[in-house]
Amino acid sequence: MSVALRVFLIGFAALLSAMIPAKAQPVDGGHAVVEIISDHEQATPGQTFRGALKLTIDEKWHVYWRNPGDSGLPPEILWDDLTNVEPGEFAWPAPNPQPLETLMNYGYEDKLVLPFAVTVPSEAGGSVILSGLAQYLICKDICIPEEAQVALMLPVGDVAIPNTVTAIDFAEADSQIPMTFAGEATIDRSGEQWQLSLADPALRAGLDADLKSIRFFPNDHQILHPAEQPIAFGDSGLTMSLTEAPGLGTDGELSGVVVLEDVDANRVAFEVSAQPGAVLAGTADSPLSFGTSSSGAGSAAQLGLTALLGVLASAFIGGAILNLMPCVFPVLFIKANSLTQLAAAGDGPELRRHGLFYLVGVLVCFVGLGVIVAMLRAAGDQVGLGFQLQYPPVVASLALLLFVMGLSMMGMFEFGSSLMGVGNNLASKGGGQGAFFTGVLAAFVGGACVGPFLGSVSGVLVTQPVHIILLVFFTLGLGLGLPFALLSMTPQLVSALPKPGAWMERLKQFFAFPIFLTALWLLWVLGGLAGSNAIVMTALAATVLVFAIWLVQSAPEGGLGRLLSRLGAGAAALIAAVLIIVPGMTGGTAASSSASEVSTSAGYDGDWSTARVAQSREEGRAVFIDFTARWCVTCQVNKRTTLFTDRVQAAFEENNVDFLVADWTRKDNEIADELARFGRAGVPLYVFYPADGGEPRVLPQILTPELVIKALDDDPVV
Amino acid sequence: MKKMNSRVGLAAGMATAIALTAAAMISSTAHADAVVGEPAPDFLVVDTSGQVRTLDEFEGKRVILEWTNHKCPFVVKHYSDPRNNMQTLQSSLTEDGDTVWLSVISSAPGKQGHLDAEGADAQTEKRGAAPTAVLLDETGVMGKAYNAKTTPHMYIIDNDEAQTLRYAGAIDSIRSAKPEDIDTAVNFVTSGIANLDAGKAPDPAVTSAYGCSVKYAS
Repeated sequence: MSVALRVFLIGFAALLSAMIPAKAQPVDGGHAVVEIISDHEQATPGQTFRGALKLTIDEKWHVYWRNPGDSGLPPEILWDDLTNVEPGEFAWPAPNPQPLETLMNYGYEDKLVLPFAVTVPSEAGGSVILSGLAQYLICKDICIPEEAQVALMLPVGDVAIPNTVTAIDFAEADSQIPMTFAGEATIDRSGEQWQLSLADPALRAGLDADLKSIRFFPNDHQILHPAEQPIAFGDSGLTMSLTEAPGLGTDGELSGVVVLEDVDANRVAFEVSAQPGAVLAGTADSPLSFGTSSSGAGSAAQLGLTALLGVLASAFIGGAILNLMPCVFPVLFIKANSLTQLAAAGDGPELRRHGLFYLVGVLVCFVGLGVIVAMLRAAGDQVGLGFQLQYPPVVASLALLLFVMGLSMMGMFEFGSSLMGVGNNLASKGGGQGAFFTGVLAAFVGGACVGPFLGSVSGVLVTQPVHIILLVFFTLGLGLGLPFALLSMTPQLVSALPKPGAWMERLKQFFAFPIFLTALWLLWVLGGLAGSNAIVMTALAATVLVFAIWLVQSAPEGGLGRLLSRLGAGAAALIAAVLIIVPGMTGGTAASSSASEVSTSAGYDGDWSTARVAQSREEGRAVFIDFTARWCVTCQVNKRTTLFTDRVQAAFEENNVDFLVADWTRKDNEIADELARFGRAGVPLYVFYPADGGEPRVLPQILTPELVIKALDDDPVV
Repeated sequence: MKKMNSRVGLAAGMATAIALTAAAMISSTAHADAVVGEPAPDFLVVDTSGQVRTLDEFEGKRVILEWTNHKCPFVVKHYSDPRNNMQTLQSSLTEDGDTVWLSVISSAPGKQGHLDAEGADAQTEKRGAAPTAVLLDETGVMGKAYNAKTTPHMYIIDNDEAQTLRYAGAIDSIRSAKPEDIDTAVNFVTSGIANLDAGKAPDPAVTSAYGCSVKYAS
């Protein structure tokens, strides 16, 4: 290159830079602010970077997708002669349906970022210039064609400098740009309705989320845009019923975008191209509907009568087996105790009454648990059968209760006819209440054990409507309660036992030991939930409680002494209550993290914490964090398609990446703060900390194995 | 005084039209939907002179329907000077007297493009349009019977006894609001009429219309 030419080019570039701002200059086109943005502030020769047309749209106005639907036009840029590169085609984010009376349009509100690729010529110097006339139709109830002359000049230098300001725009657009559809897609035009059949594991995984809608947006006008799109699904995927637009259908392929949107407005989109063919197997077995109380694909899968009876039968058997499970067995000693006492006393009618009360107690508790499960599910929590034992204060209280009950059975004191008088006072009318309470207790504790034995039944909890859940819980209770209730109804029992005597007192004391063991088991559960401190606190609470009981028991008859004892006992009981609640509060985070170690962190190297990240980085390790939640459809799809693929796992291994999970399924302030630090209000968020201590990098919300592996390999950003 | 009379006439005509439309809707749903290749839907609607117009009265003639909204950019594209695309189509196609051109305004009162009789006539004069009549379909009954989605949205009805609908869809092949695109686009009304003249069906017979949405009453 001659000196003269060089001087000329530099001069020309200088002239241009005077004309075209280095930073994008937003132009007000009327009802939208228009600009060209870039993901780099400086590019290198030969590099491919991304530019984008960005529209910031006035409130309530909208612009259109590449297929606008029944009316409208997509935005475009007419590049002019100043442009010295060849910009690629727009990548279109998944559109939103915009119903308009009898019509249906496809488009965007608020903001639209349309990325396109730009390859810098390998011999380029000076600047890349993107200049053109952006034209777009913008509509509210009326439509206005607007245009804006926009330009961007990007210096070309030795190093690439990413643009941190526009990164969020590109990340948001990327999260909405459809994934390539790896599965099989067919369009069956043989019936009145066309059937678009899609089989793909990633798509199928998305159906398990709490979905609000699924819609197909065609690239052309072969189908009626406003028509409903009823959906069926199966083990392999889904099938959508589409209505042909009269006269506009073809025999060829049908292409477009399928968008799955969950109740939190997270969306996953697939770019689909269906070839003519029959509906695929396993994609249209049952209809899918999006009710308010339903969740995901399973919900609509109403159980058939036979299937329901099967589930109820296993619930009943499971409930009966529960009587022999370690967690319920000891509780039954309480029941067994009162049973034998009554039987030995020959009080048949009272015995039967107790049996009934016990059964009612079991049923009431199970149905109550069912209601809570249904409510938690409606609130977005996925809970299992043992959820009641996931809350430290509940577990601690239960342990205390059993401990005190054991003491009572040992004869340290008597409760009289209080609700806690579990079969202690044979003559008292509270016996019925006691039996009822024993039933509640057995069900409450036993419910936690039932899960592992009832695979198919616990599946019902996440998939079926509320009335089915309640029916299943009721049957479980029936299974648990009926054997003992029947035993109580058996007159032979009364005659089979020896006459009342001292043996009764000894038996009662003996039954206290399994009760103590149960309390101990609950302490162990508590330790797992909230740490060893919680155990000590609960033990302390037990001591305080025993002190309170002793105060009352040993109080003098009447007078000031009695009053003081009662006050003291009340205060002690209060302290005990505080002692069991405090570890529950403070142990909350420990509880959630240890719980997630069991369930969600399988496959990860550990749970995310700022300390863990700092430590790993100090050791010179790279860190990859998956901010996820069980209710996030995108997160689940990404796990399936990318994070837990062999390729990505091997790459993590190879690069010694500390692969951490931050599970936001339950609200967690620390995670929320970290999300906010990266400018996010929700998951998914994927952050990669390079091993060399460089700045963390945020990956797009839609991952591919290539993308993650590339992120690991990439040279640190300069 | 004359003006007064025409207004009274218009009001009477509208009342008749609405009554007839209601009666028609109750009595017959035979041609409820516009399907190309089948008889075109009947309509009963007043024009700007207050006269009730029906499809029947045009039997034996070709009928071209044009949905319009004078403020819609896509309509403006086709009426704009110097191309005057729509006006030229209207005058050239109705020249022989065997073809009728009806411009239909389905914009509801208060919505974009709604015009009363006077306003519509003024608009016709202003842009030098030459339709046979401008129909005031402010209830949207006619528009919905034809499933008119956009302005413009074009229909060709044949001169056979059954008054068969022959074409429904876009005015031309380039979906834009830019007048210069008219120069290179294929006009589907022109090509459709040419085919019918040659004894063939229009090809394409159905296209997806483009433009602004018709501003029906919500």
